[in-house]
Amino acid sequence: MTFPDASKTSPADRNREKGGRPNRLIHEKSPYLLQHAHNPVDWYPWCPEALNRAVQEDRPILLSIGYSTCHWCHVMERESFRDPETARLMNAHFICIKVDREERPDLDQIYITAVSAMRGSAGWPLNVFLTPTLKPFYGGTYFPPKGGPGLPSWPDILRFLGKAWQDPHQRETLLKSADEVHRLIKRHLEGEGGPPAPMAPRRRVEQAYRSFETHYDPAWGGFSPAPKFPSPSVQAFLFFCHAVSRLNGKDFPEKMGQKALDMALHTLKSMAEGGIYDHVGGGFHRYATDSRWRIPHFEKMLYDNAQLVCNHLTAFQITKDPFFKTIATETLAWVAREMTHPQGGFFSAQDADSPVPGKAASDSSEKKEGAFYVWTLPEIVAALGEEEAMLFAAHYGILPAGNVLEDPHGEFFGKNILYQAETLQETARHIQCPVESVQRRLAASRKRLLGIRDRRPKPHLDDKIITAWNGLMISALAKAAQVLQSRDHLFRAVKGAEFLWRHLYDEPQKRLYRIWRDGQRRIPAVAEDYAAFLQGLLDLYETDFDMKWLKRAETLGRTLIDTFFDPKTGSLFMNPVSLKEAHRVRIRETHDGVLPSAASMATLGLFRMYGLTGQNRFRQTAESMLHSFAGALEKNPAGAPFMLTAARYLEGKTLQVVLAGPLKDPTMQKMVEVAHAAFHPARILILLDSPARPQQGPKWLPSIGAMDLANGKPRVYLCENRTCTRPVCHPETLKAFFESPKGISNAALFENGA
Amino acid sequence: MKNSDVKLFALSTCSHCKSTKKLLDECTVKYEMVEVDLLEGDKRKAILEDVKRINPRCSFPTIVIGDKVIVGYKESQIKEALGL
Repeated sequence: MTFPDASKTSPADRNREKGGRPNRLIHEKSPYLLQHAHNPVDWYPWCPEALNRAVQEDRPILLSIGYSTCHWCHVMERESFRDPETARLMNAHFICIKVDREERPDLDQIYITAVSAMRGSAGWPLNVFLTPTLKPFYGGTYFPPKGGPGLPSWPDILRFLGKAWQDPHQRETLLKSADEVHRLIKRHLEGEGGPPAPMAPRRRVEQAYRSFETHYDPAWGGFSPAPKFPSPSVQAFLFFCHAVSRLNGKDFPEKMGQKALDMALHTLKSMAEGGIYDHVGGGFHRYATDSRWRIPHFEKMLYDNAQLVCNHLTAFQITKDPFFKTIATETLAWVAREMTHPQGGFFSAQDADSPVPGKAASDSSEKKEGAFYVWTLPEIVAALGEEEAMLFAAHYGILPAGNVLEDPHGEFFGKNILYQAETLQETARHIQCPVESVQRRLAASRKRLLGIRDRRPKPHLDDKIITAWNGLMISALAKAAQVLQSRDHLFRAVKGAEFLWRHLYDEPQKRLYRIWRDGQRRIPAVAEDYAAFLQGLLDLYETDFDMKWLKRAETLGRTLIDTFFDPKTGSLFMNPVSLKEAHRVRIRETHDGVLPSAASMATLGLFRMYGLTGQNRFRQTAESMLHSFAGALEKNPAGAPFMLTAARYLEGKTLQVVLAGPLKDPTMQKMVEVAHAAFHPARILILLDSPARPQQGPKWLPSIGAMDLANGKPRVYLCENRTCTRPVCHPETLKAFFESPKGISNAALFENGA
Repeated sequence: MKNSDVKLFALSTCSHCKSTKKLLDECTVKYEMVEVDLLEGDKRKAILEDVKRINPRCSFPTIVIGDKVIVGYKESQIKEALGL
């Protein structure tokens, strides 16, 4: 296994070879910032020095935001920021600041909202012009180096705004518009304020479901026309609806529950069969540009894959279809192979673009989208031999002239993006060969191609370690350990959690950091870092039942509330409530995007903390945060699907499963296995494995007081909705409890002796 | 309300039953408690039949206060039924 050596592979280094003198960004750790470290632009990172200079010199700020695996960010860097004449214009008129959006999601959120307000839409690269007091007066995304009719070039914009700022009359207009935009984004991001009205989550759940049903693509799954994003929160929500409907048709109608399950499974399957999934190496690309999931945008993000692994594992729990297990396992194998730091943390992303195999790798302008992943038929034949290649080509839709039909930019001419064109059964029928043998032969071919692909020039790896994304991956691995009973996944989850605790948590200060790279932690964590790590720790506790994880989760939960929760409005802010930054815009997220919002993750996490510790503060905060979404959900019920999965906890319908007995006991192990295998929409798992636990327990697990360990025989205590059943003593009975849709009645437990 | 009207069906192992018992004690309510798991044979069978009639899921605690049946440790509902 090899790990990238940033000092050898960074684009900044390649620029240095071309003689560009480094600017201030050379001292940064973010791969994105380092990609700009040899620009002739006098870039600053976001820092007091830059902000002060703008005030002192009364110059506007050009804030340019992007991320290292963003295709159009690379294009603008190459076309404009490397160009000495353009750089001269930028340096003459503006204080130029570069920000990696993955390092500073708060700044990204503020200024993307500003550009959306100004232009109706926004994306990356994001270029915003600010007054020295950080109020935005103009902005946009990608600007070309040369203009066209009605389309200003980047140098045009620079000249125009530079001049306008010098002219007192025009400056007045700019300042006025800056004030207006600032007011708008402040109102939009901070919300109306005031304590929220309680809401009825059950109604919102149904409304959200109906919205997804309306937008569902029955042919290929997904909930929007192209471009199609994986939207893992939506699938998680649909699994939740299905599970609730099975427990009680009054809580969610059973017919709709079945449809919810069908939509989620079909979407997951279509994606996993499409080109958005890397059939050779495992893992999902970021999104598909077509409705059939065939043509991806090739970057791979840690957060998508973590959440999609969780969803595939849920699909496997519900259906027992090995297909979903395979996809989860292959994706985690990719994470282990390519995305894991030797000490255990997880890297952020792999780029879409890479040097074209066989061409000189030194010139980065030779990079092409997907070059690492696509194949020609002759390449496949050369790699596998005629006979295997024909089998492989039939199964994965490979055509002599290339299989990318919707290719407006002609990027993939003659190339093939692998997708599952036939089922295994169909391929087996065509070549009249047993399914098992086809399966074996395809697996051998994939392995061979992976070996060959690994010798191609690799896409750039963004190897910074982000706490929030790592939290999601810890959850995915913990869940894999539970569902697949695999020690290896548990080992990796533990290593990841220990990495974060050692390198990103400042124990004396009780503060979490967001970013670690190259031996250094940087940038105070935002709410999502706390919330996602908290969730990861709870999932880990429910896997190996080490109290250490629970204690750490409790510490994080408290700091999360103290730092980000605003009792006045009852809501969670993304940046600290007591923030001191000059723009003083606090961000309240009210929808779940590619990542669930910090508030959604925190709400679930704190409800679970309450279930484990009985501390009312956790429950009250969680309830308040859920209610704080009322207004947003009224306007758009489908806007926060992940938040809605907390509805069950709000209604107090939590299933508490206390596994009591020594873990060494084989019956006990079987009970744990059964509990781990089942999917439940709101479950708390607790282990009580030694007589010592009840004594130290109550502080942590107060509800276990009544449970008895005296005879050391394994028992499982099940409590739900403030009632309990008789303890279960046999794994088979526990299995029946989870499998029977309405649970199992106490009377039955008495009758069969539990 | 006559104190004898309050009846608590419970399990000796159940945390929510304990909490309910504590609540009733604190409210100085006189009540009759049956810990169903500690009964045996026909006696248990008969009580389970009784519980099933008023709470088909047969979950614990099941609390009977006058003509009201409350399933689960629901503090406010219990207090309301007790007229507190």
